Order: sequence, then C-alpha cells, then structure tokens
Amino acid sequence: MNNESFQNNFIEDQKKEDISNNVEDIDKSKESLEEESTVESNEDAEIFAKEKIDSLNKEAEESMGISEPEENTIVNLDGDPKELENEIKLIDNEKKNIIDRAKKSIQELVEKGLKKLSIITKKTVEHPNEIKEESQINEDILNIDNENKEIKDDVSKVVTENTSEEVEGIESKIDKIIGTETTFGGKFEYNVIRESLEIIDEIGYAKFKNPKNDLVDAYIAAFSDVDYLGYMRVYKNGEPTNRFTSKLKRETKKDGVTKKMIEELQKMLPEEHEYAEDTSISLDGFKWFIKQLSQGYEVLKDENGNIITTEIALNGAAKENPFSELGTSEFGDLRLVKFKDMKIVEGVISENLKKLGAQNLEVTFGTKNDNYITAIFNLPVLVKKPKR
Amino acid sequence: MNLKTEINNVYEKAIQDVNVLKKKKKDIVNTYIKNLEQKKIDSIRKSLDLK
Repeated sequence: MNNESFQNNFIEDQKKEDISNNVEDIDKSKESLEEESTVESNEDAEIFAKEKIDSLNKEAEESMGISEPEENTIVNLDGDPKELENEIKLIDNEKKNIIDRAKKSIQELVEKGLKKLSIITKKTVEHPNEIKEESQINEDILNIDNENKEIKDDVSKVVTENTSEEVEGIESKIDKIIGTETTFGGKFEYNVIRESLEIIDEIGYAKFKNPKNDLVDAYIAAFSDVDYLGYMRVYKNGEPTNRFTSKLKRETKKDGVTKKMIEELQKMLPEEHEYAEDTSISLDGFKWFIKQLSQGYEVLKDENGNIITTEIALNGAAKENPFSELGTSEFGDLRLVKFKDMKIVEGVISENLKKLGAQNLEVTFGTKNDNYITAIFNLPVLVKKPKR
Repeated sequence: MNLKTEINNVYEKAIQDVNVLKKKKKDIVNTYIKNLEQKKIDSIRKSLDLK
C-alpha cells in the first residue's frame, strides 16, 4: 500500500470512528437492541462458517484415488493402476490445497467480521446518555440509524477485503506483471494459461496451467505493478516433475509483502514438492535458500544418503553485493579474472553450502562462454517435509 | 455483501474447484482404460493377423 492509500484508509477509519462516537446519543433501550442483534449476527455467522468448514473437512476425507471397479477394469486389461499414482497424487494435493485455502479464508472472514462488528458493539454500548427532549432523541435515533447503516456498509466492504473497483485495479496491475498467458521469459517452451487469480490483502495469487497436460506449472504472487514471486515446475526430458524453481522481483519497500507471498504460495504448492535453483543464485538468494530449512524444507537425499544437487553459478544480483569491486556483472554470473578473487568467492560459497549441511561439495571455476570465468557449484535440492 | 454470503462464496468456489479436479481424475483414468482397451484390441487383431 502506498502512502496516499494508507492516508486515505486512515481518514476512512477516522470517519468511522467519528460516526461511531455520535452513537453515544442513543438511549438505553436502543443500545441493548443494537448489542443483541450484533451478537446474534456474530453467532450466526460463526455457526454458518463452522458448518461450511465441517463440510469441507468431509470433502477432504473423500478419497480421490482409483475406485475398486476402475482398478478391476485396469487389472483385467493387463494394466497397472500404479502407473496413474503420480498424476492422481498431484490432483489429490491440489484438492487438499483448495480445501485448506478455503478453510483459512472462511476463518479469516469470520475473524475480521467479528473484530469489526465488536467495534460497533463497543461504541454503541460504552457511553453515558445525556438527558434530551424526546423529539430530539427520536431525531437522533433516526440519524444514527442511517449512520449505523453506513458503518455496517463500510464494515461489509472491509469484510469483503477488496471492493470490486479495488480488485479491478489490483488485477490490472497484476496483469501488467504476469498477464494471462506467458512463457515466463522463456522458462517454459509454451504459453501457460492463467487459470485462477485470487487477491488477498492487495497481493494477487495466480495459478498458471500447462494447456497440454492440464497441470498447474506456475504459482505466481504479484504485488503492486512490479513485484512478483513465482514458483515454476521443472520438466525433465519433457516430463513434468514435482520440482519447482523460483524467481523473485522485489522493488517496492512495503514490509512483510515478500514473506506473505512466500507463505501463501508455499501453501499452494503440491505437498512434498522439491525446490531447486536451475541456473544461478545471488548471495541474497543463497541466504533465502538456507532460511528455507527453518520453513519446513529439508535437504533432498537419495536412498544412499547422498545429497541431490543442481549445478549452478553464483550471480552478482544481491542487494548488498560483496563482489561489486571484483568487476562482476550486476545481474549476470560473476566474472572472475584474478586468482585471489576466485579464492574469496570459493570461501563464501563453501561457507553457505556448509549451512545447508553440504560439507564436501566442491566449488569449481570454468567458462560459460569464452568471455569470462565464473564460479560453478552444486547447490542441494530442498524438499518440503511432509506434515506430521 | 454480508459475511454469510462471503463465506458461502468461498465455500462454493472451493467445491466447484474440487469438482473440476474430480472430473479431471476421472478423465485421466478413463483415458488410461481406453488406451489399454485399444492395446488389447490391437494385440488380438495382430494375433488373428487382421489389419
């Protein structure tokens, strides 16, 4: 949110506060009536939300696996139901994500609704009454009725989180960043198509599907008209994997946006997905990667306990770039020409690899083309730990 | 829009999305079964030397 909109919101809040203060003129009976009806509607919404959440839980319990008759048919035709396991597992994960997100949204709606309504109740109840002429009181009540309606309309807007106008504005900003179909700068060989867009607290969350296999290949969060974070599915020999790489662009300064985007997107990603870098990483990216170990990820290992890695380079795109004096390109791979610089870079990479529990991974130096030498190393792949 | 309507909208959207997934799963299984059937037919035709 920029300063201007923050101020506007503040002024709006102030107006609501002023209107609420006027409610102090309501007589006692009016107060209890208001309080009663507010409490009743709170309870009503809570009961309604609980019913919906119970129903979603029931839906979540239903198996998406292959039914017995389907399995029998497959076996009779000499097929193997296990061949469909991965695809069905992906669908199952997606179903779980949908249900989890819906439950969370419902809980948030109830919480926000209760908070706002309790403010009205509090303002309506906590005030001494002045003695007034009956006609004046009646007029006040009439005014307050109208004002209360305005407050409730405002609250209803807040509960809805974004008005349709705001949503449209946010959507058009997000369209500027990610659009409705894209290859994500050539990350995919084909256009992935935006399947859904949900806006929560000014951040847009979109899923992009591969039209060829109907799988969600990209999960993108976008904020303002420049910032985005995307997780993109990795394909191996043309086949989809459960591995994702990420791309982050951050220019706006609002605190907590990146954290929120990460939290929400990671919830949307399939369970036990792998997370890897595929071309290069900055030092900031490295720190972020290490931090994932405290965010429910662990280093991926094969059956013999060996760490699984991807070969990547170190780039110079960190905000505070310790290699800025080493003649490096800001966004490209480090360009190293002196032996002492290579030693420094090797030390920094090794130190970070150790934090990932990878003690014995070597850092090598080589050319990516004839123009420069860069640092190349194996970065561990991470995997989201299953929920216990 | 009141709170209950908002809650219901979220709920309905989730159920709708889940139903799309159910259909998708069914399509995957049906396609797989159809392919198996076709293989079987091809294999029978081959063994009977039919074209």
